[in-house]
Amino acid sequence: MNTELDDRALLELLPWYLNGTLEGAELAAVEALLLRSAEAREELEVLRRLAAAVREQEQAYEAPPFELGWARLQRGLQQEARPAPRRDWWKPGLAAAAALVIALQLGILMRPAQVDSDWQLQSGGSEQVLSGGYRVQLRFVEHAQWQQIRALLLELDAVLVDGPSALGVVQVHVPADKRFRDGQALLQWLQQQAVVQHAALLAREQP
Amino acid sequence: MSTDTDEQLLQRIAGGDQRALRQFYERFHGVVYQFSLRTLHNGADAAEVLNEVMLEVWRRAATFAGQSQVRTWLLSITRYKSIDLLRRKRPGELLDEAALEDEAAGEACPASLAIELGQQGAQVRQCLERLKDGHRQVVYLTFFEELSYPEIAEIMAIPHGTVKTRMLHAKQQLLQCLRRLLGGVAP
Repeated sequence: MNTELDDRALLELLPWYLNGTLEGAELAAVEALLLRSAEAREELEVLRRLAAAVREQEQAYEAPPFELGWARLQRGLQQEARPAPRRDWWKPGLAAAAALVIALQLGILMRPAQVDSDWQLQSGGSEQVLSGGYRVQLRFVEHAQWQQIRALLLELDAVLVDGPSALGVVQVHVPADKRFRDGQALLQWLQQQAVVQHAALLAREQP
Repeated sequence: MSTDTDEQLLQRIAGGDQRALRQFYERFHGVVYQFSLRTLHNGADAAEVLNEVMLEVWRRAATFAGQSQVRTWLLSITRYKSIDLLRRKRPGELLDEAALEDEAAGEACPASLAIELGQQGAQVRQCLERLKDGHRQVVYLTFFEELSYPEIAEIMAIPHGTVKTRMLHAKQQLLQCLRRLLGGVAP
């Protein structure tokens, strides 16, 4: 009796013996069954014919044309709100990693700047002439491309000092440049750049 | 055609590589479409599920943990999306498969019955289409996709025993159906 139950359970495995996915003890047991049981061999033959007929019929259903389906998927991808790496800049918690990545990309070493203790925010107000360079606060427009930001910072030979903050504000050190007679001139130039949404002169810095 | 393994393609997709997604789509769009069609019986709906599944792959590629074959994981998503579409569009068609498991398959067909099925294509298709979805999916995944019964159980979220039972019933129903259509072939 126990053997009959086992044989019934083994017969149920014949479809997977047929498709080659049985392994180990199950495979060995089914092979032993097929050796001793004519009923099992007949059942296997029925399944073999049935499987062949099923494969032939199921093959008749074709997928939609590849290029049409791919074009549809591409439209879906464009609608996906997949954040671009540059936007990850502004996410809290990623600022430190983003700053390091930027510094590495620019080939710029981040170095602590010695800030004059007597600094005041200068943005359109009275200016304080700073020597050795300026600490500038910048916020870029939302659609700014990384290449544009990079080009701006390289043109100024700027160094990223802090940020980006949760609001996307960075502080950079800009060395003294003969193009700008003073901090205000630098500020005006920055505010005219298409990628800059906001610029503020924070302090002078010691080299 | 990419020579990357399925897992390698998924890793590239997780990194935002759309070319990898295209290669993945090329490799699996037929599998996903055909499996979805077995549930939905409608080409347009199956194409919609195909699109949703591939978008899901784009979103979730990084979550693939490698604990199953990529194809198994993919077909699990396909089954979920197919059922979800049925719920949204045709809720009346959703059947409680579990309640149907105990249905008797009818008289058992003798194992000695051998039918020249290769010449009876139209009848085979007709009988396949009469199978309940859960039964047809097991037959399709076994004989067409050549998956193991544990993989089928994972895709369909059913126990191993249920996979075997559905196959047993499907086989009996197919043979009974063919006997009726072919005018009762003698065992």
